[in-house]
Amino acid sequence: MPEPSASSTSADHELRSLHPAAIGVWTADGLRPLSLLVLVSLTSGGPGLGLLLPGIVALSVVPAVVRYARFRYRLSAQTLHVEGGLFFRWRRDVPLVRVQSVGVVRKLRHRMLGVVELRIEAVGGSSTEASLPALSPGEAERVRTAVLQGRPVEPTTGPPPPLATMSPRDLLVYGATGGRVAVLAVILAQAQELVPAGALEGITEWFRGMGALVVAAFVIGALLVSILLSLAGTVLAFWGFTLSREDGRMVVRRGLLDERRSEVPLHRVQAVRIEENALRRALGFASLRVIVAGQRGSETELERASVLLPIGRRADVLELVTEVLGAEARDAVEGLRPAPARAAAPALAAAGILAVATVLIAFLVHPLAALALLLVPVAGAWAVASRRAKGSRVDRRHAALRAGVLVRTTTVAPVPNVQSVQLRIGPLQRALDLATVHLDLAKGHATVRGLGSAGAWSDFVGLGRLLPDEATPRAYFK
Amino acid sequence: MSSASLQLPANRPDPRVRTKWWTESGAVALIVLVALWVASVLALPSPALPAVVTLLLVTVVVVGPHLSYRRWRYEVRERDLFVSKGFLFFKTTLIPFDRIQYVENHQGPVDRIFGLTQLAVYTAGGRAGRIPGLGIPEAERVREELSRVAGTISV
Repeated sequence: MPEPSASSTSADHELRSLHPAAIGVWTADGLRPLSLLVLVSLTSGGPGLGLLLPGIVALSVVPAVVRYARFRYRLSAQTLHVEGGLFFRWRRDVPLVRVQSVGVVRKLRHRMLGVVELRIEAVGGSSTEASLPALSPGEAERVRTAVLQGRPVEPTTGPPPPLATMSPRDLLVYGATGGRVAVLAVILAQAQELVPAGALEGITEWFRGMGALVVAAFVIGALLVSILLSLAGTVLAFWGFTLSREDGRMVVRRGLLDERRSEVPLHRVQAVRIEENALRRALGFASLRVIVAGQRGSETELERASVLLPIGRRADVLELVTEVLGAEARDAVEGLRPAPARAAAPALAAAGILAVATVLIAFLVHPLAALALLLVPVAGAWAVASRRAKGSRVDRRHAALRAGVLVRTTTVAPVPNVQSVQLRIGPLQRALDLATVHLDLAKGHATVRGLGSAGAWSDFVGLGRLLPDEATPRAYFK
Repeated sequence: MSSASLQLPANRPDPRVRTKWWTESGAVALIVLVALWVASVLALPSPALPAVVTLLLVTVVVVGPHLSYRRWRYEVRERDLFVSKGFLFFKTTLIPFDRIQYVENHQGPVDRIFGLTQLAVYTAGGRAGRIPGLGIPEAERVREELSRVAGTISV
């Protein structure tokens, strides 16, 4: 166990290499895209296999060896220097003051090889500023501690008690109530491309022959498979989930095959977002997400990284809000001012127009159009639910906005983090005495349309008075 | 409290911006109308459709910039920038000085003809406010004043 390095700087004097297991890690990385090639070669017939496999292995291993030989890093008192490359040499210097967090990644391949990957994330740059793909655990700890500039290493008494965990049942609920049916659509689209043209015709003919019932059964079956896949993915990704507070950072640990640890420094939290999709809300569950300044990256990376609690009981989520932003933030969430009844009017009117239009078309064009009338009560229910979901609240320390039918989203931002506030009134809103409140944050924003205009104006004016008083700490945007 | 009781920001943009908008939208409308009339002479039986469209476009071109100009206001107050705009779609914004990260003056070719400059104010959340046209000396003055107070609490 490395000693806490509060006093020593752990600066390197020469360039260091990664752990040799990096070759294994990179080979495993490289094999993944080639695995399709392997699959094709396996299915296309025997003789090609003998030539193809060594070729594939060579293609994966040789670059990994070269990469390992060229990769170097050095940790000085102020920078982490990383370099590599044979023909296209690259060098990168990361100033330690800009480092926001150091993530530790232990995927299955890392664990099998006994190494650890460090991902250094900085403010105002790409999501991962630099990464050291394979280090021995001791070296990883040394680098991580030194990069975080002498913050104390986790005490030998063990990590602090977690703030939140997910039981296997929570995992199941999370997986089953997520919205990943879209995955199925993608899979189907891909499958369609792989099937040769003639076969597709044959299949559709076969379906038509079997009748609508079979098609329906097939669709339901496919949905069930999608749910099961989603469940499996969730369990793998979030197994052993714990959330704890260490040193002014919220630390998330999760994962079965790929163990991940990610950190969110509390002082960089712009706002929190409570998300309750319709299904979860009915069951009394909610999710908590944080909006953090200075993180950039692909959509899915940000999705995953910003979730503090994927699913938990509403009461627990509110406890977490208190933990991250303070008790007043929680009061703001619980004391939201609702939108007036008339806020449902525009949507209800739209439903009414739909009804009238449907009747007309059914009369004049084709009676079958009357089926669209089934949509009208749905539209009406949507209008009512949408109004019920809206709410806003501005108090001395926080601004909270809530909206959303399918996913009810409540955003709470401390007033210093609000960059600007906007009030909008469209013609229909003016007629109904409604307004829209919009907050801009350093990253992201929050909007609620169709609030009562009196309340919206008082929010706007109130925030207008508060914002200059509650100044944004400039330091963390440098 | 109704919206009428809230004061709008005190200053208007330069009146020349209205002329600029008339010119720009007029030019575009002219091109569209010429194309429309030529097409209708060749293709359509009656001049009813082009006539209606012409009437609509002319109304929009004449009335639009005027209304937009009347409703666009800005004011550099004691501790924030207060901007509002919009006739049908009203929008008002407050940006405290200390949130301002930088101020940008921007001049397109048409702006240069009219001696105008556009001003935009940026916070950590991106562009937060815009004044569509100020005379160049006025734009300089506002930009310098905002740059001076950006990041501070008050004037």
